[in-house]
Amino acid sequence: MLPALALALVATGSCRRASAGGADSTQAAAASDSLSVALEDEVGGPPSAGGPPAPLSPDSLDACTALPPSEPTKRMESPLVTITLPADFEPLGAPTPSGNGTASYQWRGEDGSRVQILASGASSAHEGWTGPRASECDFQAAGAQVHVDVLFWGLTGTDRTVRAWFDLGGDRPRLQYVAHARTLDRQDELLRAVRTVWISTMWGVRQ
Amino acid sequence: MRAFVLPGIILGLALAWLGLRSYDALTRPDVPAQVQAVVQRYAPGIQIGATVRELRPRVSAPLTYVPHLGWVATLRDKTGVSQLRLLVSEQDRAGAGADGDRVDAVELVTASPDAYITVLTDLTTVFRRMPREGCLTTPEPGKYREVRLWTVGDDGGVALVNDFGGNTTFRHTGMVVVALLAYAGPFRGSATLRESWTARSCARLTGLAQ
Repeated sequence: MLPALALALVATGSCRRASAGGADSTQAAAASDSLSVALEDEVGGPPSAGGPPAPLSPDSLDACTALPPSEPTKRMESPLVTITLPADFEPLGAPTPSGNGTASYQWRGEDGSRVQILASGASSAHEGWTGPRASECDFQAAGAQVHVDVLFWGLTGTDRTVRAWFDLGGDRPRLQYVAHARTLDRQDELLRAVRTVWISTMWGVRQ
Repeated sequence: MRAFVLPGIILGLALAWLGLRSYDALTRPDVPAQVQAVVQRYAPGIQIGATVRELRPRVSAPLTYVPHLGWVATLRDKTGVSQLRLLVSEQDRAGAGADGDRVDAVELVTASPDAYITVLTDLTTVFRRMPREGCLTTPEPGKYREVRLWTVGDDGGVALVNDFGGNTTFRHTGMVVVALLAYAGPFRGSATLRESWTARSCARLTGLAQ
């Protein structure tokens, strides 16, 4: 019902603009933008106030923290990527190989927290997403230049995210680590897991 | 003489049918295989160049006509809510929306987390080259959308559009709206993307990069 109503409102609004005249491309852009806003509001509920990102949360983590993983942990091994995750994490299906010598992996914890590792086509760490970053850090690990972002606010307000971007240099595909944590403690564990990532020299080598 | 009436009618109908088929084949744009492959992956059953009448049975949700743009369906699946937009030509969208409208381009819009990275990775694999960069200026001040564009000569292409990370205004904290637009024919900037296009990255356009 709601999407139908939103579409009806968009359609009506576009009609009004049409009667006022104006170039076709401007009207098409207005209609397109109105539709996108309808989608955003349906997914995200009432709009948040515009403006710059929210201030740092007092309980947000420092992305540069370099502590070892908290025990108990489990080592997830594969020919291309190995990572140490909290012991309750289990793989979500088999790794999905791609034709360019990379693969994507997913794990899920008992509380529904998720970790995903996949090849990234982005040319910079912040490409393709936005959001209030609580903290970020650059360091070297796993033979790569790593950039980590800690986000303390997600779409639902309970999604604490850790994103890491591994630049292996040259033409090798970059590797993206995305973790969605349910709690602050879990986010801390999944931030520590970033530094346990091992990447095979075969990553990005076509077989 | 009467003996020729019935065959004449049949022949006339056959010629008319052949004429319509030929007209349809001649007016339907050729869509590059890579572009159609992308459409098939994300919108199975949908074809650029088909009419709304042909596509309606293949869309799992009702299609609503949005003036000046085309036909839109709101889809719900495991990834959340998304919109399928069947964009019609300038000529057709001047009308009130008809089943005979021919689909000029197909656009899928979603706010699903990580949609951008997933689709970008797929497109890089399909086209095997880096895209051109551009930026869309929206009617809302401070809100831009980044464009990655892969073209196949003048035959068609695919654009991946997402909210720019340097936006100073946003409607929902942390939400990124991602659109995948596939089209046939030459790329015509704003007319193809249905937004105000500039052939510079948003970072450069907004002065965040040199």
